[in-house]
Amino acid sequence: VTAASGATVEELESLYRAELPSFVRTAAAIAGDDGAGRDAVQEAFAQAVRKRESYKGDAPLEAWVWRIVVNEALAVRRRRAPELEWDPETAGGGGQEDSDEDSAVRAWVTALPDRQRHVVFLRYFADLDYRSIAAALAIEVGTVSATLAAAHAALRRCHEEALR
Amino acid sequence: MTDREPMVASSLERIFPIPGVTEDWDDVLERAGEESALRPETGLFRKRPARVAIAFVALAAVAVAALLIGAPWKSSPGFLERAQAGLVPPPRSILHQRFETTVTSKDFGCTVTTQPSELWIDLTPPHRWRVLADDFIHEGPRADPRTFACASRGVTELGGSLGAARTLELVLPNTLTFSPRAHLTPPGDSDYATTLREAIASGIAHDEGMTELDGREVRRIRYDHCSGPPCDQASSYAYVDPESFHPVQEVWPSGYVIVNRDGVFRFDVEVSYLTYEYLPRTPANVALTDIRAQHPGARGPETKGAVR
Repeated sequence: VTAASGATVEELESLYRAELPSFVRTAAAIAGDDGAGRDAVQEAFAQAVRKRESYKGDAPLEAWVWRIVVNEALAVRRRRAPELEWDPETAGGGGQEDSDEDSAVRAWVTALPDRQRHVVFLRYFADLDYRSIAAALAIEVGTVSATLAAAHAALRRCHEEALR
Repeated sequence: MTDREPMVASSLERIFPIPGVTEDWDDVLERAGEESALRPETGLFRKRPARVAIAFVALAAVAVAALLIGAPWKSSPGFLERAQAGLVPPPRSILHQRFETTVTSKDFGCTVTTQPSELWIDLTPPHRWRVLADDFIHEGPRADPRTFACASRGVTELGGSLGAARTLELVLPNTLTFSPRAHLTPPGDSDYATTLREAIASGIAHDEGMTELDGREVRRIRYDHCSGPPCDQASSYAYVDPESFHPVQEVWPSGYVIVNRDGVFRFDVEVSYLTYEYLPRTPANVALTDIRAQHPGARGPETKGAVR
């Protein structure tokens, strides 16, 4: 049970254990590779533990943590740039065994604007609903819907062009 | 979900597979400072950041050197002076150690001695280092208490630079990854020797004279970790070669403490040095400090050169 104000270490631990693969997968996709993603998640949860009293309960705890994870993954990515450009061979798994089609889709996702890409990651990697995505990214629910639609449209265009 | 979403999800699932992950909640707590807040004072070890358990391996030797370089030797200033002169690292050298560590738990009635570990540190900045160390050592405070004292897990290879944010770990057969474990941190900002001298300036080292250790004549140094009561940390001891002043063995009663939900577990730690030497800084010896140089074909997380 989540308190109306403040989160407990036990709640955060429970969330960590239940959703770690999703957190790491998303953070890895944002940060650039699996190792950086794992580190970002560890650091993000450490921040969540430290700041747990500041959780106000106005959004699901999961969304509050996701916001921290996304921010930390972005911070990791900023710290690493430009030394490490996003590497499609290492980011979020995949790699040499990809088919040409998979590589193409991966490139299309990578080419999405940051917000669209993050919404895609949170929708499909983290399986968050629109409200939670909105809370995680500090945007309106309507913006989530519009951003996801734009991402779908962009990916569809890429796919149609590839078929020509 | 819209009718399009399951298709997109399926495609992304294949392209961005869920990575293999290992839970490490204790690491989260350590990073958050939660565990250190619970951990009782543990002498010299408490001065190590919680995340850098591997520093134990290197700094154990460092501590011995520190004891000898600048402590206020009350009973034997002559020995101090000789040690101080004898322990100054040769310029542009590589510190090389081989050692084994014995951990004893009275709680579990276990004693385990690691396989010999080996460490190289370049004494020239950025102080690149590489270690082949028995796993449980650098798992440190995240270790399961019973396993910590009752099982050796085999040797792991780690490498990095002192103070670097990340440590690389070799994952067999040939991959370098960011280690979830610790990284070495120098006891100060940049000047290795100066920081060591500062570390011993607190006046807690005492020369206890000559003694015998496993049939060998050695000098025994007592290290009092508390300046006054209350003090729950027993003194530790360093046994050093009376001629070279290099460490032979360190003994840390209750030298390591693991605190978790099940309680407080104290471990006696002994570090026995098989080799302690300074190597010339030749290209071949420098390469010994470089985990990438040792595994030139390894795939790694920073293949574009961020962590050096």
